[in-house]
Amino acid sequence: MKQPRGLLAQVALRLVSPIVSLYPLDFRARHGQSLHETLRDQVRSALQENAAPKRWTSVLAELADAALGGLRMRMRPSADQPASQAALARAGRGQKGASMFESLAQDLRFALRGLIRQPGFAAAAIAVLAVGIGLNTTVFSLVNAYLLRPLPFPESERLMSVAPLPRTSPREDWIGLPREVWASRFPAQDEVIESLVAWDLDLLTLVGEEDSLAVEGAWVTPGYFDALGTQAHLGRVFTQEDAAPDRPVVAVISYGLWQSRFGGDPEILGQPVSVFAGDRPDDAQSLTIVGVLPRDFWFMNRFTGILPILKEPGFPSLVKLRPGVGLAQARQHFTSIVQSQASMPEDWQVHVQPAQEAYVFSVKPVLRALSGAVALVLLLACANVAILLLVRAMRRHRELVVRLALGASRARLMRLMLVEGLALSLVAGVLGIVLGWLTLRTLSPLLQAQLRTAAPGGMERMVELHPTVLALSVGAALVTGLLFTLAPALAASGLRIASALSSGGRSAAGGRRHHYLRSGLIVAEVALSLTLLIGAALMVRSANHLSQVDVGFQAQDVLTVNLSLSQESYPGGQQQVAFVDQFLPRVRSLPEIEAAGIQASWPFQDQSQAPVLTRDAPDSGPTASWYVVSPGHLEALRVPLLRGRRINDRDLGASQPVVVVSRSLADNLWPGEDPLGKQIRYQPNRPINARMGEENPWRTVVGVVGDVRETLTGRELPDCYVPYRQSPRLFMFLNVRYRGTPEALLPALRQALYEVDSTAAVHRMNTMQDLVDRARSRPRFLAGMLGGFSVFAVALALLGLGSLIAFTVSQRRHEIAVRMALGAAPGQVRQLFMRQGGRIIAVGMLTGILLGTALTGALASQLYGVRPLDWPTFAAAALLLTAAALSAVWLSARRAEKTDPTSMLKQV
Amino acid sequence: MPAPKQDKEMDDPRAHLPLTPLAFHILLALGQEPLHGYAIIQDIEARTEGAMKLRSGTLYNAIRRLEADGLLAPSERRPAPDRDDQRRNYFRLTELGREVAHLESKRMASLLTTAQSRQLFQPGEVKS
Repeated sequence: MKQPRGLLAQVALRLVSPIVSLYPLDFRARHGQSLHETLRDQVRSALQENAAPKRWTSVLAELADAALGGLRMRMRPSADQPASQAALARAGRGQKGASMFESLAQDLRFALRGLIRQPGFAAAAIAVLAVGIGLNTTVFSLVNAYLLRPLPFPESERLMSVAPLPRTSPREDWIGLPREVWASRFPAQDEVIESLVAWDLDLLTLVGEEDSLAVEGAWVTPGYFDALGTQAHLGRVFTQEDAAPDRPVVAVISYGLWQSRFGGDPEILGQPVSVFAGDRPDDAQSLTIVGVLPRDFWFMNRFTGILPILKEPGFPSLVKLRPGVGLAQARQHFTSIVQSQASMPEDWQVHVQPAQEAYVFSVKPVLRALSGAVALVLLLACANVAILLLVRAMRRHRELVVRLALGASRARLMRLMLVEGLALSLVAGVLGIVLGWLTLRTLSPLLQAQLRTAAPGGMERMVELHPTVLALSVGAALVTGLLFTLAPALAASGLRIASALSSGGRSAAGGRRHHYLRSGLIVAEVALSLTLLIGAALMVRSANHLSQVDVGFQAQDVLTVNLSLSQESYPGGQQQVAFVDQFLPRVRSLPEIEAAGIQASWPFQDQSQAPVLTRDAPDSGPTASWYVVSPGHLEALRVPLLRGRRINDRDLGASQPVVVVSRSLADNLWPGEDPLGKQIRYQPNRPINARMGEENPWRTVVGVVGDVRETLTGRELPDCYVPYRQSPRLFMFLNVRYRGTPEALLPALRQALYEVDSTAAVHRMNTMQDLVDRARSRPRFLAGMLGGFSVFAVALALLGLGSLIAFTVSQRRHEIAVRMALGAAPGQVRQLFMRQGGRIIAVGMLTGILLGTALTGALASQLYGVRPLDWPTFAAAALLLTAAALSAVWLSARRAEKTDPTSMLKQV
Repeated sequence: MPAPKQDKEMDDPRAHLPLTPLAFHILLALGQEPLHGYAIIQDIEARTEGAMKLRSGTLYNAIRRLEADGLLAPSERRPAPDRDDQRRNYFRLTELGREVAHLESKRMASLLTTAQSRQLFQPGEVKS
């Protein structure tokens, strides 16, 4: 055979000798050289025969197989692996195999018996582990449902969310981009886009013969269902022809609405239904139902009852890419489309992101923090059980030594420990999985509400025990089993027969190795619990900050009710104003009402934002939130009046256009000047036009009020209030400040509404306080969860610390007795243990602080008003834990000094 | 050195049946004449038209088991001096190995006959 050339070939051939030396000596003595030659021949032939890439994989495979063969042979030194299948079967009952198998079963029986003999120990260990594994199962189910599983649509990896963003400020308000620049600029299809989807969420009022029903809906473009791969349960979904202007406006309805409103009637297809759209008073009001969606259809994010077709281009937000198109390519494609438009500002680009990622964007940091925390809890549980096992192993020291002396191998002893640990962890694993799953089932509505994002694919998909979750939990149980068995197994491997037997068991607690093991475990426990405690403390402080955020108005005792008027009854602004003028006085006349007003936008949410232009700077200005409100709104919310006046009944449609601004806007635009009498308007051609009417006159500032926050954590923007009568809307919220309870108020409000208009619909009702609290819920949720975890963690750490000290005391009772008999004061004995405990705690604290420094960064996005490395928080957590830990040590040490030396010496 | 197993049960060739495919292939390779390791690999690869490619580690582990079971042994008979490579061990079938290979072939032949009678297999399907 030819000698192959090349450096790599030489290296490969050089490896042959070392690999052959992996084989056992006796084998090498007989066949070593022969194997050597065979391996060389194989490598050479691989080098000669194959093409370059395949050649090297085949050489590597050859060498690896030979190396593994050597290791395999070493692991079976006596060649007891039979060649035939019959011999294999025989091995099960053969001498050798039997002893192997039986001794394993024996170990298992022995382990179980031992655990049953000490039910307290077993219950404690299993409970601690089961809680740890259960928490992981629950949180990982959430992670799996939200972050890992694809969205519940076929080929959902091709769905991308698209949004225009300024290059300079990622994720800032894209609302500043002119709507028409973004909308209608994308081709419905090209070499990158397979289909383009736009939707507009809307509240629709279904008008029936007897009653009206408010339904959440969404106007969707014809390609919507194709992109999502959804088929109709009954009838059909949209086709491109449906978008033709001369065709009737078609809609599909959800399975739920079909059942509840139409009684599951199959005749519903082709029927027209009358609908009033809250946000789009100009759209058609008669919809023809052409299909019913499948029962499990999931409209991204919220429950949607009715989906009419959107014939305009809409505001594209979801794209299905053609197969094989990558993210980078899509990004470039969209940006170049948008930038080729003359009206597109230069510094804008298109943000393309997998739809799944965009959907879970805000939940991700919360879930990440939670999974980190539960992993720490599991580690801590491991350390705790390791300590329990270790202490138990020390107590069984004599038994182990005797076994060793009687001829048990160290390997066998270690295996015994391992089997015991695995038995524990498997029982705990099964319990933990059941516990975690039950938690998930019970708490899923709560968890979903707290995360404030609907589970992708719905709740049922979230609570099912997914194979990935199951595998991970079982894996976690096994790994933890190995982890916590490691310590006692190591301890067992270091047993010394002679010294142990001769010391009469007194030296069991001694030995550097044991000492370090135990101390190390406590250090780990203290460090882990401190990390959790720091995380929890940061979140608590953050939640606390949020609860102290001044929203600028008094949310307490304010009820907010969503109303919408029908286009038919109120075709123009005049009629809408007339409604409000009739309705508001009736509401105000109720005895429970202190103040009442209307706002034409969602309360306590991002408002229409647009730059404010002044006569001096008519092209650009600071961005503000624009509210449309009636007289009484600012009073109901108790927004303080600082100068001039609020919106009042003199601000009529025909009178001078006015505006009330917030203090920060006045300070920003006219520092040191009197803002009253100045004129402003919003920058035209913004999406705000759609909400505020096309008219955009210069408005005179008539008053200055305090600043109000639109959201708790969002950017704080100045505010502008425009009178309702000068910009009437069909969609509105009534805000009332009331006395008594909101429930008592509702019938009176309904009556007042009914007296004015029996067809107007009440969509929803909230107290303003609820809305504000809801905004605080996510940080509070995380604070609560981390708080709970850290309490559990600290309890575990203290338990571990206490049991260790108690154990040390019991092991050193002989020494203590001698010391006391020789005149040591009780305080001195206590000091001895305090010193020992103190050292361990100090190291644990340092480690915990380091760990905390490394890990709290993960919480950064959820922290409000406090930095991840907030030293006061770190210090407070460390002090708290130190105090608790020292008390635990002190309590255990005190028991040591209370003992009577004489009786102790007698015992020994 | 692991001595070939001596217990009675193992001397009964039927006790070794059925063979694993790998073991059977190795015994077949040695059916005609003693071969060294690399030659065994080549023989099997050629006979199976590349479907079975043995690697050295796998082969020598199998050889060791077969040797321990007493089915093959290092061969004293070596090829002619001009073709002999002194560094290599040649392996041959033991009597027991030959008998086991024969019984395994018979077992397979009877399976084949059954397959034929059930029309699952036609004799012409395999090249002789």
